[in-house]
Amino acid sequence: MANQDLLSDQGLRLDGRRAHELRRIRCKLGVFSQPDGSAYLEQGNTKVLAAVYGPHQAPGKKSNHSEVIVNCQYSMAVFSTGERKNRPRGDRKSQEMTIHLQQTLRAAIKTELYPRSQIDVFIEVLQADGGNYCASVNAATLALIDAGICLKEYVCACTASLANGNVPLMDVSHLEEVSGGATLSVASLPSSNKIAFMEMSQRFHLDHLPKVLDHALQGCQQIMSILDKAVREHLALVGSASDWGNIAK
Amino acid sequence: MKETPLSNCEKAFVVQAIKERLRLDGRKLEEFRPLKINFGAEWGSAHVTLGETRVLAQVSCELGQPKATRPNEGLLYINVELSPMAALHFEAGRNSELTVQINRILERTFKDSRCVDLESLCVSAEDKVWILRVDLNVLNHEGNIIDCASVAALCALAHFKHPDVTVTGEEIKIHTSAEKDPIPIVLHHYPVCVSYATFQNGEVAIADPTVIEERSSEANMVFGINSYRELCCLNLGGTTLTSSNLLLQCSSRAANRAKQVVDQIKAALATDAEARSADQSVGFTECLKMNTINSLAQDRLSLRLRRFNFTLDDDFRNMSSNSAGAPDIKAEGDDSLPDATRIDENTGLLNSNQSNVRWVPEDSSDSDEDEHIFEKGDESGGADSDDKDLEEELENVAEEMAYKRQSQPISKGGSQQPVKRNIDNSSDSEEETTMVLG
Repeated sequence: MANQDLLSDQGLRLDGRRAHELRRIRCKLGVFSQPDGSAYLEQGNTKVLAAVYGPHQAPGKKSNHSEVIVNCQYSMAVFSTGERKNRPRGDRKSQEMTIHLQQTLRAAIKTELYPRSQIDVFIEVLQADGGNYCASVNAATLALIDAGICLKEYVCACTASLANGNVPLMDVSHLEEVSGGATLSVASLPSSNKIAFMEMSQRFHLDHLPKVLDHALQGCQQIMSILDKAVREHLALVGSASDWGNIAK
Repeated sequence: MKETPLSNCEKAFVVQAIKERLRLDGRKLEEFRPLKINFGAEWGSAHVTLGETRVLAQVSCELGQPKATRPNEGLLYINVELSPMAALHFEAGRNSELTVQINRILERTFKDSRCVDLESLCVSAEDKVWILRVDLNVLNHEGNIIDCASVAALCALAHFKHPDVTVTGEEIKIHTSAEKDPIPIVLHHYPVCVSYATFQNGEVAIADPTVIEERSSEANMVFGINSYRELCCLNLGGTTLTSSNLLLQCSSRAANRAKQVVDQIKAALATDAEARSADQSVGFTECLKMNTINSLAQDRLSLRLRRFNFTLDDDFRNMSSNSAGAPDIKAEGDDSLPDATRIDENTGLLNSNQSNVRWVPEDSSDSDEDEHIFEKGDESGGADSDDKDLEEELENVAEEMAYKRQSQPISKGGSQQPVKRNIDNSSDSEEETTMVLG
C-alpha cells in the first residue's frame, strides 16, 4: 500500500513534520458578537468556526428536568473540500458527526448545572484537511469557554494513525488519511486522562491499538496546553480594558 | 409515540445490581445472550436472534452505473430499518439518531474495512456493476441491535449469490439460476460488532446489554472486529468517561467473542449448504418446525436463577427419594404435570417442554453455600435457624440426664462434697427435664 511513503527514511512526513508532531494550531476566541461564545480554530489547513448560544430555555417537549440539552449542528461549507459539496449538512456523515460532537460535549459540560435548558453549538468547517472532528471539538471547547459554560475540564481531540505498519503518527492530515491506513480519533479530558469519545474505521490490528491510542492521548495533552494558553491570553486581553491584566501579574 | 421514560428507581436498581456483579437476566457481566442463525430459502436472507432481539436481513442486487471515482468497483449499500414493530417508540421512515448511528457503524464495519470484494462485482468498467443492498429489518428490540444486525448482515452477505451474466458486445444477458449457477460474493474477512456498556464511572463494562441496561448505562462501546483480531470500526461514546485500560481489556475480549461468532456463522452456513445439497427443505419454514422462529416458543423465563444450584449429590438424592414430603419441585413435576418445568436429576438442569427454558448450573464459588442451605432445609423438614436453639436445649438436657444417671451410683459410695453438688445439679436438671418434657 501507499503506507510506505507516509514516513521518509529521515523520519519526515509528507508535510515535513515528524511522526509525533502536531500541525500548527492557531485560535481566537470571541470572533462573533451575536452568539454567547464563539471561536475560530486552525489546525494546519483545517479551519473551523464554532458558535455557542445558551444556556437558554429549552422548548417544552425536549426539556429535561435534570440536565441540559446539548444541541449541535455540524456543517461543512460547500467550498471546504476539493470537490464542491452539494449538501453542506444533513447527509449521513454529517449527521453522524453531529451525534458524535453531541456525545463528546455532553460528557464535558457539567450538564446537571443547567436543568430545563439548552445549549446550541454550531460548527462550520471552512476548510477540511483531515481531523475535522478533532478541530471541531477543540473549537467547540473554546467557544463554550468563551460563553462561560461550566466544563469539567478542557475536552480536546486528536487523531492518530499508523505509518509503515508500526510507527504511530499524530494528528494526520487529509492526504495521510486517504493514502494511509486506519485513523483513530480520540476526544479526551487530558487532566484526568479519561476518554470521552473514540472512533475509528478501516482495518487495523488490535495489537497496535495501545500504541496508537497512547499517541492520540499525548496529542490531546499537547492540544490542551495550547488551548489553555490561548484562553489565558484572551482573558488577559479582554480583561486589560478593566485592568485585569495588571492584577494577573 | 414517545419512549416511556425509565424511572429513577428502575435505573438505580440496575446500577446497584451491576455494582454487586449481578444482572437482571442472571447472566455474568461478560456473558452474551445465545445467538441463533437461520437462513431463508432465497439466497441472501438470514434471520438472527440474539436473546430476544431479532433482525431479518435480505441482500438484493441490481445492475447499475458505478461511481465516477471508482469505475471498476461495485457498490454496497447498507440500510437498517427501525420500524414500530421492533419497539413502539421507533417511527417508521424517519431517520432517528439511533438509525443513523447504527447505519454508520455498520457501514464502517463492512464498507470501510473492505470486507466485500467490490471489484469482483464489476461487469463492465464505467458502465455496469452490481449494486448490492443489504436491508436489515429489526423485528424486535431487546437491546444490542448493533451486534445482532451486524451478524445478520454478515450472514446474509456470506449466503448471497448474484446471477451470472454474459457480455456480448453491448448486450448484457443475465442468466437465471437454472441456466447458470449464481456466483457467491467474495468476502475478504468476516467482521462482526461486539458491544459493551459501561457503568460505575466507566470502571465496569458489561457485554451485550439489554434495553434497560443500555438505557441506564453511562457509555457504550462498539467494536467492529474480525476473526483475525483486526479492528474494523470502533465507537465509544456516552455521557461519561472511560479509562483506556478498560477499553483495551474489552477490545481483547471482543476479539475472542468475534472469533466465536464467526465460527458459529461459518458452521451455520455449512449446515445450510449441506441441507441444500442433500435436497432437504430449507428456509424459515424449517425454523417453524424447529420451534425457534415463532415468538411464543421463545425464552419465557427471562430471569435465570443463579443463586440456586440443583446439582444433586448422592446423599441428597437418596434422602429425597425416601422421604415423601421433602422434594417438592421434583415430585410435582415428574408425572402429574407433563407440561411443567422440572429438574433433570442427572444433569441438574431444569427441563421443560419449552425448549429454551433451562436452569444454568451455578459456578462453584457461591453454589456451595446455597446447596448446603438447601439440603439442610430439607433434612430437618423445614427447620431454620430459630429452631436451632430448641435443639441445643434438648441436647443439653439429655447430656445432664446421662450425667445424673452416671453420678448417682458414684455419689452413694463417694465423699460428701461431690454428692452435694451432684444433688444440686440433678435437682436443677430434674426440674428442667420435667419442664421441657412435661
